[in-house]
Amino acid sequence: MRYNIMVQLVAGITLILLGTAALFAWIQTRTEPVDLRRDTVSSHSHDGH
Amino acid sequence: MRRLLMHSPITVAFLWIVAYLLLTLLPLFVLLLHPVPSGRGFWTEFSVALGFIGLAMMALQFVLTARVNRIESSYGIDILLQFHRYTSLVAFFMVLAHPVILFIVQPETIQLLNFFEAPWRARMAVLATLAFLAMVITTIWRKQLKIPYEPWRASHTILAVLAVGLGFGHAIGVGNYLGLFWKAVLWSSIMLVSLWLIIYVRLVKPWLMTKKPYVVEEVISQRGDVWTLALRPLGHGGFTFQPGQFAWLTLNITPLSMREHPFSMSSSGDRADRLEFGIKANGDFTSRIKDVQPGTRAYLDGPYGVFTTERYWDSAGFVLIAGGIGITPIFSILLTAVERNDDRPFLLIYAASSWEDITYREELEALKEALDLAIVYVLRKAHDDWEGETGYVDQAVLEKHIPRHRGSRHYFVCAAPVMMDAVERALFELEVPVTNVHMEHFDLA
Repeated sequence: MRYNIMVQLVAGITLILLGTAALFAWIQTRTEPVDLRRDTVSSHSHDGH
Repeated sequence: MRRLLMHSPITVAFLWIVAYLLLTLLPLFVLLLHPVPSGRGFWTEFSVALGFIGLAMMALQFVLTARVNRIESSYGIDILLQFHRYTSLVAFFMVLAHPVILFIVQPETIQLLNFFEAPWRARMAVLATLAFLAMVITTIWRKQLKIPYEPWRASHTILAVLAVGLGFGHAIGVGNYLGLFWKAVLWSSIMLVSLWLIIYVRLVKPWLMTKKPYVVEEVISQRGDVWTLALRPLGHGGFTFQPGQFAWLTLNITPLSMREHPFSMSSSGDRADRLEFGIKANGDFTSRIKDVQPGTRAYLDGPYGVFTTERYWDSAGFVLIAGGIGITPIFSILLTAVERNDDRPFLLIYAASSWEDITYREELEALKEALDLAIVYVLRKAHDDWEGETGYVDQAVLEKHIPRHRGSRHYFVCAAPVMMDAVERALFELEVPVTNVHMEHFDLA
């Protein structure tokens, strides 16, 4: 039973890791690199190019 | 309040899990500090992220298996090893998914599998994956493949170093991300810590152990094909321990040879001058114990373990449930209780194959004189005039004997996995609070 809890824990950790990997990939590819840098500086994502 | 929280085992365990997640994901967070490499799609980045997470998880395995006392005391070593096994499998599938996704989204990369023409960075990736695969196969199917424990353990370490080292080499060789300053700093630190841990566990610690040798005083035959190995410290004070703990034993060879085995102490935790281990002859190493000569050199790494009554000082009493050789740590708990004049009630429920096979039977009966101890033997093969319990330690047996106020006791279970699962389920059905149940798997290997 304790090992069932362990399976659930590791499954939970795996989901968090996969989710973060997907979030990372989305952040890295949502805009062109140039836009991303400007976004970071101005904190606005709607100002376009 | 903060103090109270930090002493709750659940809070401490939860904090370790959060720390594990943060350490695994730290390499990805650091990547966000750097500009994004251009022209790469979602799936390529996802695959790279999986590769980094897989590598970080592999590096963290060195921490999980380094017998770090602070982590170990939050969980117990059997739970840590189970976590190590499961997370290694997750890391393995992430490491496998990393190239598979790349092969799908960039089919031309499949040429990197051509070992003879591929660049070194790809060769290292292939070799790292093969080392990892060999590790997974030889661990999951060790018994079916008939690999003895000692060579398995040595090869496990070598393969682990190869897999992580080559994986790191691959990441540096690809260089898209590891060319970045902070990323390189972080990964170099992770690799240095992993390397230090492996050097510490396999070289420094064994070398320190050689400074504190023990000598075999006697080997005593017990009922149930069990042998008591009694050790005396040689030129030092030995160690006291919390009753129920175990140590890693190296016998007749240098500790640097990495051929050590975990055994529970069966003697009183307060006796540093003579440490005893109850060892059942059921494996390559254990069946040779009976032939060990007095005077043989031994080395110990310990004590370890959280399967101890010492952590529950306020408990009104204890219910101890043992199956076969699982009696060893429990015998130590009882002996220590006698030595400390513990006046709390102890109930021992002890499953054995037959009356003749009850290890420490005479000694246990003698303990009743000095301790408030009740013993319930549960025999699988009872003789005809046996009036006690027979069969297995099931819910009916437990319900008949454990106290009505379930939460007033702490319960310690040490047995073979099948019995442990059955007892745990039965205790749960009988509404014993989960936090009052403590278990130890003696089959760590």
